Amino acid sequence: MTPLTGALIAIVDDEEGVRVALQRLCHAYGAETLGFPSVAQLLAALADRRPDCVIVDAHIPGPNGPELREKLRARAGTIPTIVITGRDDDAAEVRALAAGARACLRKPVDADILLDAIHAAISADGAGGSTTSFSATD
Amino acid sequence: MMLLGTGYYLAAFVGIGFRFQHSSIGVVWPANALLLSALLLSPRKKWWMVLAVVALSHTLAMGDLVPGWRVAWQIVGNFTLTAAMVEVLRRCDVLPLHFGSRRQILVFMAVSFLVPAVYAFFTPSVARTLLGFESVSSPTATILRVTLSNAAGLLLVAPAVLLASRYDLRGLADVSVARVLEGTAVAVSLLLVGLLVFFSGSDIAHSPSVVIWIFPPLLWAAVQFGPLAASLAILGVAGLSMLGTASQLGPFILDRSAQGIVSLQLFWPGIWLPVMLLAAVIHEWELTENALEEQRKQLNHVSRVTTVGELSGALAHELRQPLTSILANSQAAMRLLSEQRIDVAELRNIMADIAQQDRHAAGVIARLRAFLTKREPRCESLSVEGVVRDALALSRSAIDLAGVEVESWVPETLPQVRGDRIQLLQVVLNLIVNGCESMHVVPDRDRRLRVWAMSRGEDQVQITIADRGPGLPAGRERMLFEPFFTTKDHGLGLGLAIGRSIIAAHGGRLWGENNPAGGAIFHLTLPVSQS
Repeated sequence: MTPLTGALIAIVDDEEGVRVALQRLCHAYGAETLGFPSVAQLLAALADRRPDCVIVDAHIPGPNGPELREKLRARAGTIPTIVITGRDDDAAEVRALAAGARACLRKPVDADILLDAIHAAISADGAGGSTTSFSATD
Repeated sequence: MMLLGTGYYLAAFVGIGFRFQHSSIGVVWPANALLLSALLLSPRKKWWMVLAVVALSHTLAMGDLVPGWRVAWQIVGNFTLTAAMVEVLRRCDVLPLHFGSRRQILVFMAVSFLVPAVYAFFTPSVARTLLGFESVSSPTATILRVTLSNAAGLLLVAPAVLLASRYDLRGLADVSVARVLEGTAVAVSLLLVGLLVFFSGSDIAHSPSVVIWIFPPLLWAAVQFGPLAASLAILGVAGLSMLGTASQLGPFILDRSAQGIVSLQLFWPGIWLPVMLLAAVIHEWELTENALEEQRKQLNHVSRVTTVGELSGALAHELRQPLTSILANSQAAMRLLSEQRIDVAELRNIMADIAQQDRHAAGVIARLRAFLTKREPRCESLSVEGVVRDALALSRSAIDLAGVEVESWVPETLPQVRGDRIQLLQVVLNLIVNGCESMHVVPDRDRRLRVWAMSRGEDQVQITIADRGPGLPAGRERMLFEPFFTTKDHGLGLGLAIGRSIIAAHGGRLWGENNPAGGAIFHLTLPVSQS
């Protein structure tokens, strides 16, 4: 497994347990990580630092979820984004977000698959286009 | 078999001891009822043993009174009579007899009269009167007497013996004190009324309506204690009336001829039919009630399964969160270990998180299992706060995925209510899920569900669930609670109907209305626990 040495990865998930675990995983493979409980906080932090890759949970809770989703989608063109989802059904919100993302993975996501996706996202950075794939663990 | 032998001997003794004047025909011939019961209770292969025992007892009882040829004739005749009855009862499809249905009562009564009536033509007594040996009574009267004495014996004794033989004595251990007292009261009142009616002087015969007073205790036994008690009570009354009449007391001795005896014989079926019918009707009703109750339970369970089915996507999501955390944590730890970068503190944190996430997942499964388990409803004192908390926990993911914000305000200081935790959880959960689903048509920022509870007077607690959805369909608010009425494009339309029946069974009320400020409001009240 190629390490992620030097990469800065932002992880957005409102579940602390998931967020911290994904940060640990990326960190164990050499990446530097930032964790955000909400998209709003990520967007606010983007002014300071630009991560190489954003991993974001497809479900964005709260009354301004759709608005944040739109903003995130707009940024996904410039920052490689990987969407993860814990839902069975491919709800509209997942599809909408995945359309602009480099990959869409289903929880629980295996390290191999996640790291491959991150690598692909970072190396293809600037090349444009998107690949949507669901994890083989389903 | 010993029991049968002794019983038959005693029964024959009673039959002989209490006869028509100037005749060898007993007023009641209970021995055949014992024979019938023995045949019904034993397999056909063992009937020869029954016959042998009965033949012996009959000979012992009758041997000194009538010539041998008549004893043999009687044995063969009685056996043929009862075997024929078994066959007729079998063909009428009423076996095994439990006297718990109207059909069994009516068929048994008819068979107890008709078969002995046919049999009467072939008895020695009738043969003798027909041939003119016994000139005291006419052949018609003799046939009538034989029929009635057999029918009376069969009706009075067979149900009591058959039902008592099937009674499970182990059930006695669970009988409550109140029940024992009530049973004793029935027995005592039967005895008192019986003594009053059947052992008063001959004056009583001039006011025959007094006999009707035997009915209240008999009906009491039938209504409260079922067919066995009814048959035993009738047997007791028959015994008292027989003893009274034999002592020249009570209402049946007005004229000391055979007519008085016939009226006694007709009295027994007259009380037997209504009392046994009543016990049977009540038994049938109880069976129907039990079946309905069972169906209600099944339906409740189906409704819970349906609710969980609707929540399945959300529940899968809820389980995927800890699974994601556990997988990522353990793979991070493996990577750290393989890199030989042993950071003990970090590994400890990882392990602690894995354990915590695992417990969280186990909690989700435990709640789900508790909710879905089929079990007998248990009435207990419980807090409304706990019910609402559990309902919100079960629907957490569904609420989250529907983008709904929940405000709940349930003070822990509310008085406790009495009820079944799972059933109440089912109702509240259903209302919460309905509320969340109704709001999928409104903009995200308006998806708010409010759950609150408060005391209503001294003796009620009210839970209210208000959504901001489109509200109840105008003019069809009442139909919401009809089974299979649904406004959703999935679901059975049972949730509210079952919810209403559950709350009603708890002594409370469930209703819905439109909120003037928008959305639907559902209220449910529950009586406060007295303990």
